[in-house]
Amino acid sequence: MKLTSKLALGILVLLCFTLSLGGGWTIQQNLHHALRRAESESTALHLQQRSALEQALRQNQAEDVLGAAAVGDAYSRQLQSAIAAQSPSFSLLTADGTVVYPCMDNTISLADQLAAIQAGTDSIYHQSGGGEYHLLLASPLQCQIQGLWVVTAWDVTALYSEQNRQLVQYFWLECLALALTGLAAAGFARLVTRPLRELERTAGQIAAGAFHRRVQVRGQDEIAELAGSFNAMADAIQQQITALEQQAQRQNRFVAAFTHELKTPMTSILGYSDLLRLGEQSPLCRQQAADFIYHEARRLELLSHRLLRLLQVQQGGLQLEAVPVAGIFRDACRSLPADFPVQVETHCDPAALIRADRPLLADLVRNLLLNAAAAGPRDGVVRLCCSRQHQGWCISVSDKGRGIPADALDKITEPFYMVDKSRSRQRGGSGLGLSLCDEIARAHGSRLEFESQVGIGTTVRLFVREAKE
Amino acid sequence: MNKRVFLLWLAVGLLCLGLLFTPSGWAAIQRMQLIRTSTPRPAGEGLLTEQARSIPALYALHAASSLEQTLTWEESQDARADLQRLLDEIPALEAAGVFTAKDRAVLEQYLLQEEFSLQTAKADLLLCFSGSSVQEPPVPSRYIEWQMDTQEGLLVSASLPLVAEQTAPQMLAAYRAYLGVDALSDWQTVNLPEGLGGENAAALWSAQGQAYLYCACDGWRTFLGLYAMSREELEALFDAGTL
Repeated sequence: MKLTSKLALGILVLLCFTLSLGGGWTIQQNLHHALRRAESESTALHLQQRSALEQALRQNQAEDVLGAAAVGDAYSRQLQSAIAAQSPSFSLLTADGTVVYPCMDNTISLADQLAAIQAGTDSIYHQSGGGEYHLLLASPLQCQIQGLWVVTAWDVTALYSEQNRQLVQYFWLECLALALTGLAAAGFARLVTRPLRELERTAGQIAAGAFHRRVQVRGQDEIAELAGSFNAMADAIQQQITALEQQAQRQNRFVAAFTHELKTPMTSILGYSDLLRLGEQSPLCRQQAADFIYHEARRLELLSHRLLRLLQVQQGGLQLEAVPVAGIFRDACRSLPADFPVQVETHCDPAALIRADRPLLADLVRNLLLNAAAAGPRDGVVRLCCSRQHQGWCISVSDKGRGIPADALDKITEPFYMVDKSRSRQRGGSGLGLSLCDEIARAHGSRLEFESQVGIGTTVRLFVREAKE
Repeated sequence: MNKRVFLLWLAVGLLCLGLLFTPSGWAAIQRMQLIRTSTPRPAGEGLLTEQARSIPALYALHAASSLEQTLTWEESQDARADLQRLLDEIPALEAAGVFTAKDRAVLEQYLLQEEFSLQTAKADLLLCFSGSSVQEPPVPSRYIEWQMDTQEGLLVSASLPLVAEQTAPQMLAAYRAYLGVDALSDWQTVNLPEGLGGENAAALWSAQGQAYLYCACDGWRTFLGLYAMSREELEALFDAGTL
C-alpha cells in the first residue's frame, strides 16, 4: 500500500476513534446530568406529594383503604386542576401489592411499582415500558393505615428521546466530518509525499545512468534531510564511478603503453637475431647487431626492474621512521653519476626531521634531480630545497630548463608517459620514473606537485609530515 | 489493487463503521444496565431526612409549616381545660430537667391562681395557644403562649412568665432530650446576633431536621422553642432582628 494511502487511512481511523469515543462520552454525560437533575426534581416533588397526602389523610381521618382511596381520588383531582393538562402520576398501594388508589400511566406495571417499593426510601427506580421511561419513587405514608405506600412516577421519556436525537445527529455529523477529513487527509498525504515521489524519480534516473541528477532540497524537515543525504550519496557514487572510469582508462593506457614499450625492443631484438641467424655477416654488421640486441635487452631489464619496484611501492608495507632531510639529500647526491651534467645546490634546515623510508625517498629525490638535469637548465644549476611548511616540510627540486607543456602536467606521472619520447629513449628512459616517484610520494601520504612553464623552468614539490622525536 | 491491500481497506472500513456506531451501542448498553435498577436518591438541600421525619415533634412542625393557609385563631371554649394541658406537661418538663422543682412550683402556682383569656388555633398536628391574665388592671407582661404536638403531647414551644433557675444552655440541652430531637447528630451551635436574646440565651440548628432550637431567659420571661426552619430562613430572621 502506498504511503499516501496509509497516511490518509491512519488519520481517518484516528479521527473516527476520537470522534466516536468523545462524542459518545459527551452524549452519555449529557443524559447522566439530565437524569441527575430529573432525580433531584422528582425527589423534591415526591416528598411534597407525600406530605400533602399524609395531611389529607389526617384531615379526612381516613382509617381504612376505602378512606385512603377517597383521599387519593380527591388529591388526584386537586393536582389535575392545578397542573391542568398534565395528569398526576401516583398510586397508593400496600407493601404486599394491594392497589388502594391507582393513578399511574398504563405503561407502568404493578410489578414496577412493587419494585420501587422494594428499592426503598433511599432509592429511585428506573422503569421502562411501551417506549416510555419513568423514575419511580416510593415512600411509606405516616397515617392510621398501616403499610400504606405512595409511589410517584416522573416521566423522563423526553430525556432519552433527546439522547436518541443527539446520537442520530452526531452520527451524520461524524460521517460528514470523516468524508471531508478523508479528502483533506488524502490531499495532505499527497502533498507531504511529493518530495518522496521526486526522490523515487531521481533514483530511477540515476539507476538508468544519469549520474548528474539530484533532488531539490526544500525546507528543513526529515524529508529535506533525506533529500540532502540522497544527494550526498549520489555525489559519492558519481565520484566513485568517475574515479573507476578514470582508473579503467589509466589501466587501459598502462596496458597499451606497456605493450608498446615491450614491442619496440622485442622487435629490434628479433630483427637483429634473425639477421644473425640468416648467415655469415661481416664482423661490423655482427658487432652492430650484438650491440643493438644488448642495448635493447638492457632496456627491457631496466624496465622490468622499474616495474617491479613500482609494484612493490604500490603494495605498501613501508616502515616509516624519523629521518633527517639533510641525510636524504646527501644519499641522493652521492648516487648521482660521476658525469652529472649540472650543479646541485642544496638548501636544507639541519633540524628538518621527517617520517620517511630513507632509501625510497632518496630514490625519489635522485629521479627528480635526473629529470631536472635532462631538462637542460640554462644556468646549469638544479636547486634542491627543504623549507618549513605548516606542520611539516616541503622538499622541492627546481630548474630553469625547457619546462613542461601545460596539457602534459596532469599526465606526466602516468606510467610510460613521456613528453618527448625520442629524447627520453635516447637517454634510456622508459617513462616510469615520475610514475614511481608519484607512488613513493603517495606511500608517504603526499603527492608530487608540478609547477612549470615552457621555456622558463620547472619546480616539483613534495610535502612530508614532520617527525616528532 | 492486490488482495492484501483490498483486505486492508475492507478491514479499515469495517473498523470505521463499527466506531461510528459505538456511541449508539454504548448508549444502548448503558440504558439496558440502568433500566429496572435503582439509583440512590439525591440528598437535596432543605429536605427532611427520614430519621428526622420519624421524630413526632419535628414531623408535626414541618407538617404545620407546609400548610399554605394562615392560622385561624378563635376564642377558647374552655380556657381552664386548655390550660390544664400545659399544667399536665410541666411535670414531664421537670422530669426531663428543663425546669427545676422551684420553676415548676412557681409556674404551677401562677397558672392555677390566675384566670386567663385564651385563644387557640390548630395547624394540622399542632395546637397553638395564646393568652393573657384577665386580672384587672391588665398586666400585659403576664401573657403566655405555647404550642403542643397532638401525637405525643410535647411542648414544642413556650413563652412563660418564669425566671428560670438554670442557664439557657442547661435548659436547652434538657429540652433537646425531652423533645427527642437529640437523635439527630448534626446540631450546630448558632451564634446569636448582638443584642438578640440577651445574655442568657442559647440556640442550635440541625440540617437533618431543618429545625432551630432556642432557649432564652430574659429577666422575668423564659422562652423555649423548636421551629421548622431552613438555614436561609434563620439568617433572614436574624437580619430582621428577631429570634
